[in-house]
Amino acid sequence: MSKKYSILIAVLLLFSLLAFGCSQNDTSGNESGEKLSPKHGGTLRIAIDTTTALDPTFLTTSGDNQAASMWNDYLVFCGEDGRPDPERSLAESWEYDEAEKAWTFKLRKGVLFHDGKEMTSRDVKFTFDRLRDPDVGAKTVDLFSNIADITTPDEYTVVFKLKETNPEFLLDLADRAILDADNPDLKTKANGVGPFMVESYNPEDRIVLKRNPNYWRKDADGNPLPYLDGLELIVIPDKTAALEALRSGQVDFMYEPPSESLELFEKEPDITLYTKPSATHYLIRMRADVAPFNDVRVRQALKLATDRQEMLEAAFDNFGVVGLDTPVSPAYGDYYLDAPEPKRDVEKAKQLLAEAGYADGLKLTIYSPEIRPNSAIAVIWKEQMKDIGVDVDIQLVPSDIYYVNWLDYELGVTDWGSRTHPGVFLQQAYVSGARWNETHWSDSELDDLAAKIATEMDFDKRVEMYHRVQEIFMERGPIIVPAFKHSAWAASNDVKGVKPHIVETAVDFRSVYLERE
Amino acid sequence: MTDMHRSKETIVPDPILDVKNLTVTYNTDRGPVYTVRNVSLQIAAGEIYGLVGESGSGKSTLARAIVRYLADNGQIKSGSVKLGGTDLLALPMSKMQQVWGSRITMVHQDPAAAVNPAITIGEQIAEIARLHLKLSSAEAKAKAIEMLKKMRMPDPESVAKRYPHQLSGGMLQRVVIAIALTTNPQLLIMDEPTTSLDVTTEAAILDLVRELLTEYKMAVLFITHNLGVVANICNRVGVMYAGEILEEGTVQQVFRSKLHPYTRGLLGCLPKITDDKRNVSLTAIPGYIPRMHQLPSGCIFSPRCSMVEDECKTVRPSLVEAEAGHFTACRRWEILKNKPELLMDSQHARDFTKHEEGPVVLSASNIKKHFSVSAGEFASLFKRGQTKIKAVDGVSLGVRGGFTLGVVGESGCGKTTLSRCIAGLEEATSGEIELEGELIPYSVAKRTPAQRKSIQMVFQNPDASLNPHYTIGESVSRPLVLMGLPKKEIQERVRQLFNAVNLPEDYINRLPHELSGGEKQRIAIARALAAEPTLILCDEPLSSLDVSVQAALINLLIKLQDSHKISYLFISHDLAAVRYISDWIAVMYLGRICEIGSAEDVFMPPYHPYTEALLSAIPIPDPDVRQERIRLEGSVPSAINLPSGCRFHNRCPRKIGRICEEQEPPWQNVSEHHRICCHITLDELRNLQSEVIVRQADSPREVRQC
Amino acid sequence: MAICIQSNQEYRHSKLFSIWRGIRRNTLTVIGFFIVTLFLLMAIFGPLFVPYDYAEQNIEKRLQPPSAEHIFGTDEFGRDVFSRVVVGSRNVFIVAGSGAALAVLLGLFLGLVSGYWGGLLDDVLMRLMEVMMAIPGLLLAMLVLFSLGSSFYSVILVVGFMYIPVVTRVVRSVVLDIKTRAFVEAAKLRGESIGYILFREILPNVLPHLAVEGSMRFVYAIFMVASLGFLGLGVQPPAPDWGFMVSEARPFFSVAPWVLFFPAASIAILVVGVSFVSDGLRRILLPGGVSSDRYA
Repeated sequence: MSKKYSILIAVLLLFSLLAFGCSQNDTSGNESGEKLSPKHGGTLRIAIDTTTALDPTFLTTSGDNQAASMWNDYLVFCGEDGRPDPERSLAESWEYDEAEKAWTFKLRKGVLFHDGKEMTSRDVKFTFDRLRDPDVGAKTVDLFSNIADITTPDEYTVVFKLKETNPEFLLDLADRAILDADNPDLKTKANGVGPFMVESYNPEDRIVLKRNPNYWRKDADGNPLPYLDGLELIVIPDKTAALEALRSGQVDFMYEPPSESLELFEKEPDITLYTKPSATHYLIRMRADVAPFNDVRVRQALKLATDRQEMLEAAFDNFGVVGLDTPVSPAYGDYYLDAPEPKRDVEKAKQLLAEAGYADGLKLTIYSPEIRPNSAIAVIWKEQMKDIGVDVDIQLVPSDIYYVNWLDYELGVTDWGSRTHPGVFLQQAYVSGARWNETHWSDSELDDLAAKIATEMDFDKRVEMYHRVQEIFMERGPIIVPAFKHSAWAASNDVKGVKPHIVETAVDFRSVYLERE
Repeated sequence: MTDMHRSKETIVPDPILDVKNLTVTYNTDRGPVYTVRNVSLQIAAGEIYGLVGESGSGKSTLARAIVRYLADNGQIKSGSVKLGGTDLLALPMSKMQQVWGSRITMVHQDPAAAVNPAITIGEQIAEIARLHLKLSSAEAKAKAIEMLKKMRMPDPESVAKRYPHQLSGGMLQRVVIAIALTTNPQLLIMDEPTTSLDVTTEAAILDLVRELLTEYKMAVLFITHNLGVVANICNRVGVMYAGEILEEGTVQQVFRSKLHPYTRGLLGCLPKITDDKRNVSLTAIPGYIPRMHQLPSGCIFSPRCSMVEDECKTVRPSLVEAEAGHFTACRRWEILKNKPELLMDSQHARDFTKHEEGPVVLSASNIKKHFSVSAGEFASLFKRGQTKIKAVDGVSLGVRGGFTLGVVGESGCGKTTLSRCIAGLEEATSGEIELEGELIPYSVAKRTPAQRKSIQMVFQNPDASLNPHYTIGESVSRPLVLMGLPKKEIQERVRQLFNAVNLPEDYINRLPHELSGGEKQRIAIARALAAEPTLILCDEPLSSLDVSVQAALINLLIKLQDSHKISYLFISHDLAAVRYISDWIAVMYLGRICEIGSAEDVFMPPYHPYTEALLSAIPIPDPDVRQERIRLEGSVPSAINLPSGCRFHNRCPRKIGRICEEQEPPWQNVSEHHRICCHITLDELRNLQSEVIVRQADSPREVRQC
Repeated sequence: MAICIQSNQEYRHSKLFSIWRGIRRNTLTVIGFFIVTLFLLMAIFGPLFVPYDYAEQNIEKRLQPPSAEHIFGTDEFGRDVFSRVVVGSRNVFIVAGSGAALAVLLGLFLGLVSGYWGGLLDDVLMRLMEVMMAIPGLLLAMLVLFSLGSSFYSVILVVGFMYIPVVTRVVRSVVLDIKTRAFVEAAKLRGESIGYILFREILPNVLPHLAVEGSMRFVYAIFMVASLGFLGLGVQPPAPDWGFMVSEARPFFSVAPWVLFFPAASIAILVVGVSFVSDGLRRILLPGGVSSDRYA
């Protein structure tokens, strides 16, 4: 008997040793030999989402974007407010020639790739040629189909000739990693101009980056950036797990903490929560080309019967702002039409339904990915629709399966991430024949406005047109947008210099530093 | 429990095993059950003590209590157990574990279960030597070979390398005995060691034990239900009944004087090899073995005793020393003294109406049943040549109306397969079966209902022959239901049948698990009778029953044969029972009949050498009977590799030469009804053979000159 | 060793009574039966007496801890957790129960046929069963439900089919044992039809094993239904599927653990309860009879 127990105890001890050993995380990485300023030094551990590709041409997941932003720099750097920032861009300056419809960019000199080669206009041309090349097949082919030609008059000048005027061309170009034209193996060799260099790439586990000693930017005092010696990007797809890792000190920073646990942050003195309104939204969308949704009265009735505030509270845990059934978020500043939320009017809704011929009620099936908040939106909506005699049957589907058929569902709950400007949404999803037009909506006034917006250079005029677009959506659109979710990040208090960005994955780590007590 | 047993130290000086007033209880839901009550016994060195009893007597419990290996709910309530002076009950369990296997060893009933199938024979013996004798590896190996030699094992070196499954039952039992004797124990306990062996093998093992005892001077506690074995091998015997020892003494004393009514009853139950049903009827002991938690007051045997008095029922008698070393627990033992035939004379001549031989009801001609050995359906599709087991290889016999044909043989002779072929449960490979002159199909499914009715079967295992979910009334009435009789008549018939088998009518609604083995077998017979058959096949119907119950059942079968004029095909390995009940006997060996004739003729010379060997091997519960000693070498060969020529030639003690190996022996007619299949001429046999079993007794009929 | 019993037999208890006695004897079995009865009553009568409609949302009162108004608290939509747990029990019993019953019925039939006939039929059936068993159950269920769409009936079918092989094998092994017994041979000798032999002679002896195995399958079925529900393959919301309730409650675990605790505990307790019952049945029904009659 005693023999059995001693073996058991020995095994238990062994296991606890192993567990203990594993959980020991490296304390801050070795300080660099010369400490330049108190801010310099330290390794930051960041929890990121699943990554799929190293090649910046093929960024798909948030994880890809989060990782790519660490070791790349851009021709046009998009600032935290969503406007181009020349200070941080590789282009020192730019000019637009209306007559030629040509954008000319002057590049900085002496910018080196990680392998030491200097960046020239050739690399810039290579990058954008690649991004618009249908044979390469990046997602940006359509976006850049407007580019007629890219020329490089000299080593530090790039000229983009457009076919049509594009007022938001800078934003379209923004945040595209500049690639090394001589890199034979873009898929596995990461050679960029960014602040950090890829040391090891393990997409299942972690990406380790170290400081780029030749990085071209300096801070306000002239100290070389970045402050951090290195980054460890640890892949933790499960948000709850990432939150736990942050709380236990295994990581220092995470993107998008789960909204369900935001209450906890009040109780955690060592963690800081950063938030910012974003353009990410979820919508209930209807196929405008089939019955019953092809009747605008039905669409209006369903929209009238929806209580968006409830959804914001229950599905988003109040972490966001109520939507107005348009894809334009308050984060877009002036573009956003600040109208009041339509009041819920059950009687009117029933009346509209009766007029449309559904006095006896309606039976609908809504498809939704099984994750929150989509599933929660569906559940809440179903209850709300009961009040006007509409019986909704919920069909939950695993997320990857949902996005196989998402364009065909008659009624579904889809989510849309941020875009640089709302025009992208229109082009991608709402004009007739758009590639991702899940509602199959075809409204000639909308198409018209969208086309004008795309080429109108005058800002105020564009604002007016965007407002009109939103009115159209509210009047007769086939989508219900209950809320715009805020972006959020969480970091330990040691992490300083974090600036919330309109695009959740684009937080700038160049000026982030550690202040460990 | 107020009885005291007189201490018996004066009888056995210096006993190795000294058990005094041992009481063992089991804790059950209904309170403690006293399975062994106040039992004392002593065994000296070099002595074999036979502990005899039927089921429920507590003999196994006693053995377990002595070695302190009771079940979790068993407890030694009082008494003492001393082994060579050591008080075993006072030892802590760790010390007791050292006693096991070295100072006390056991041999059990099933040798295959006692050995590890994954270890070679030599290694198993060597393991004991290393563990208890602390020998080195090499020494232990040598010791193993030595032990096997002592067991008279042929070719011990090669046997030591074999695995248990490659040895026969008899050889395995020798190995188990070898393991038991390796450590030269003080006490060897043998619990029914030969019960599962064939009678010829049993005889050889008993010989072995007797011989070993001259060399190893240990005490042996030999537990068995078989009185014949006890008479054969034991020095002293104790008769146990329902937890108490009722009589104890030397074998001569107990078997001759029989100073307890129970002993008399037991011995009276047994059919003697020299008796048959026409002369004597068997005494069955009336009543039932009492349930342990409902013991009778007074003498525990009183409810069943034929000389019971009122005082017997109130006062628990104690063991009295009737003569030197002979103890009995009967108050009235003096009446029994000097009157060896008292209570046994109910074995008087039976009222037996002799009939004429009726016509042949069943005739089997040249029945062959061959099984092909294959590895399942798929494999058999690919096999080219198939090995065959020739279980029955050319058997012809006939059963006449109202008469019993007994088929006797050891394991592997094919008697069960033969009966199943006749019943139709197996399809014979070739041959003809005629029922009342009409040829019937091999398979029961193809026979007509009338044919099926005519042949019924009583099976060996009474527990399995009745569906546990139906009342016995339902089981018995099923054949009647199939016959299409109206309900009223069925009920009436069932009552009649119950009467015929001596079961009370209120049993009709009982479930099988509420009945004893004997009662279940009666129901099986009743069910067979219900169909009004011409022939009943009895396949070892008595083997799983107690001795006293067997007697009652034999009596019943005979009575029924008398009243209903049924024929029996009675299959058994128990020669005495077969001799008693059969009119005709066929002796089978390896699928063939080697001798067939009337019961008296077969048991008298000239014998087929195999019959001779069988007769010499049966243990006879009578120390006054002299038996020839003829032993067979080896064991029954496998039916796949049949010996050429005469099948018996490689074991036959009377083999005459090459002819036995090459040619099949011819049938020789001793008389009109008696045939022997042997190469030796009848005259030669008559010269060579004398009666195997001779009773040194009064009745002159039995002693015959050759 | 046959033990003789005295002829004046005491009153023979009815089968049910002996089962009841058997249950009483073991504390764990009693607990098991108590739990199962409790949940069964909850499933049958509960939905009639729940304080709230299981789908009734009250967003203002979301994620409330247990209180007098809501004894199990409220979930993310303000629905009463207690009402949802009670109504959900019905789903569990019906779906898991039907699935197990399906497996038992079909397995019984296949096992009888396969065990009794043997031969090629048996070989083929057994290989088929082995193939079915080789595929991991949950994966198979997911595959089938993805393609067929998950509904009440498809889940029952999937759960049922998943457990047929085990039941078949158990029944078959019992049949193999019983068909060699003398009373079956006696029946053959009487010329009884195959149907009689299978259903009147063999089947009654298989039933105890089937009861034990069936209750065991019920345990597994409950767990499987909960697992499928957790993955979103059970009945669709807002129907209160315990497994899905656990899955919905997971993100809120740090903030409102009761939402996860109550459905998870219900699953666990019911599974444990049925498991005790199954063990108890095994002890009582097999091997044959109430064990106090035996003593060595």
